[in-house]
Amino acid sequence: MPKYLFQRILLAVAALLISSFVVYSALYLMPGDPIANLTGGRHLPPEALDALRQRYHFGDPFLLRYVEWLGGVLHFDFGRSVIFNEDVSSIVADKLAVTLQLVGYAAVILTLLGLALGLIAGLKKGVTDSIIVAVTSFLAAVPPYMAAIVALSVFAVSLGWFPAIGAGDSGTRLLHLTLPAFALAASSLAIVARVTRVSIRAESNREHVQTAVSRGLPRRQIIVRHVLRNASVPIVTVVGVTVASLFAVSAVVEQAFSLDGLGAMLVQAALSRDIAVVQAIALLYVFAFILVNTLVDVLYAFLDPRLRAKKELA
Amino acid sequence: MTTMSITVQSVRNRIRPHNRGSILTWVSIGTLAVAVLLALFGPLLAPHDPNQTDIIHAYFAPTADHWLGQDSQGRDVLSRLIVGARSSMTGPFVVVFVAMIVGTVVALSAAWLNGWVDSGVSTLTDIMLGFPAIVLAVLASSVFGPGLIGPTIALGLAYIPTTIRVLRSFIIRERAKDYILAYEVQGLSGLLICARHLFPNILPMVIAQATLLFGYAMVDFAAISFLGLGVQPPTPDWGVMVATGQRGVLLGYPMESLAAGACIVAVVLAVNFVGQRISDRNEP
Repeated sequence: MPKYLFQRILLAVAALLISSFVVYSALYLMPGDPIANLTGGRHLPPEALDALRQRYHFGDPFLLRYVEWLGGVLHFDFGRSVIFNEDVSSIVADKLAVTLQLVGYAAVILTLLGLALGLIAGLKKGVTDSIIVAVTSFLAAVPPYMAAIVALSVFAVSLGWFPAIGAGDSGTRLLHLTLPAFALAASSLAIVARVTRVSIRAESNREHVQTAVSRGLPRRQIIVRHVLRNASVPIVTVVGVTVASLFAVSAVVEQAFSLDGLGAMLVQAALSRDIAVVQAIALLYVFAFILVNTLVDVLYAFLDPRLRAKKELA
Repeated sequence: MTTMSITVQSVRNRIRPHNRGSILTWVSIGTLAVAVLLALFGPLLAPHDPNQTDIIHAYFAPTADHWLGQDSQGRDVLSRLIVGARSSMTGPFVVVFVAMIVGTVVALSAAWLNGWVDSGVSTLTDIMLGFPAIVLAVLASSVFGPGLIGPTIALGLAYIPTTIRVLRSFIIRERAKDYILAYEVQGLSGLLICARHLFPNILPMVIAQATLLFGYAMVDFAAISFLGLGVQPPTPDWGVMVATGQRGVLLGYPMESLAAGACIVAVVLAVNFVGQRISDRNEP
């Protein structure tokens, strides 16, 4: 167990280091002088240019500069935004809340609805199953921007049940985030439902479950103790992977619903070439993605003792 | 020897009937054929000039002359959809092409050479998979400026690890088969076996993977254009149309966005379905 944990964390740290390097070098891949890129072509007074040069250590070799930048990042110092003339960390901190709420809300929806649909389809054969399979196959192919447009057009504009744009204030936040969260969760919940259905089907056909049925155990007990427990590993995997991918996709949904979150900020920064902000937000997304994936991998070992034993032997 | 292994495979395909869903297969193939035709000949087929504005008729509902109505500038939505097919599918096509070539070569080398090369490649792909495609694409477009170049490079890079991972596991299984061993015993060079014997046998899997990737690439490309970082308006493009039609959605004229989105979903569904069929047929 400790060995497996250690390996997994090592891989996550390596992934973080490499992605931070990719994010950092992006600035230097830009055609032209990095200083000009940092200022986004604006004319700054010479003192300000000097300050920039000093801050980014342009005199030092590339790798040293990267290490220095990384050291700053570890202290939540992402540099300064040339557009807003403000510390990137404080800009990002402002936007982080909306994105986290949106992703959290969508994660709850996709877990609950995805599991429920998958369970129903997996346990009930016939029409219910076919309908759920058809709907989820379709939903899985609907990209988030399309889900957002349909949700906007039907539930916000035609029916007027939900507000169309903005994140609202703390009182109306939940109502404002409902449509975006559903749009964000739509295709992922379809995937979760399908995986849940397939793994429940597979487990229900296994010998120990059939034995439990023939011994006349209560259905509820069979499902909870014998089917769900074994089906939990693939289900947890798919929930984890889809939740991790929600962060990056949330940018699209935020844009569609004019939410003032990280994603909208990222797009705005990318358009105005505010590199420090782009780097910070890209790094945050990657960090969230790797963190969730690592947590899921660690969770396996707790869920399935057999896996733990195997990993231990290896 | 080569012909033998191929005949074995085709016999296996014939044994397993795939009648179920064959209508869906033909619908998917038809959808793809139409999409490809539009991408090739779109500008010739469009009934109107896709960029001809007509402000007085902005947001006009469908008429006999404008089947899908007119957008916020009074441009013909149908013509923009038809002409937009090319720009919506060129990027994904390039990305898939590059990712498949690099992915296949790396996966073949890793599976063939084994040992530290293989474990190195596996670790590297594991790490690279930690980078969400969209984030990489946004990063690239802030480097290269909005347009097709940044997202194409970024998505090409982002899809290589997925390709390697899928193909590698398949090649390892294929490599363990007797006919490969027979060639090795005969003393054929590894390069020759890979190129002449191993590759033709994994080709269906490569095509299946390419087809599935094309669907993902199309969704991601449209997302980048939707964000305003990819194809730039007023170029007709499905992703751009979903975005530019958004104001119409809020005003109660969702036709432009919905029609463009429906085109994306239709092509993606068709591509996924065909890709799934190809890989089902060749899965041992």
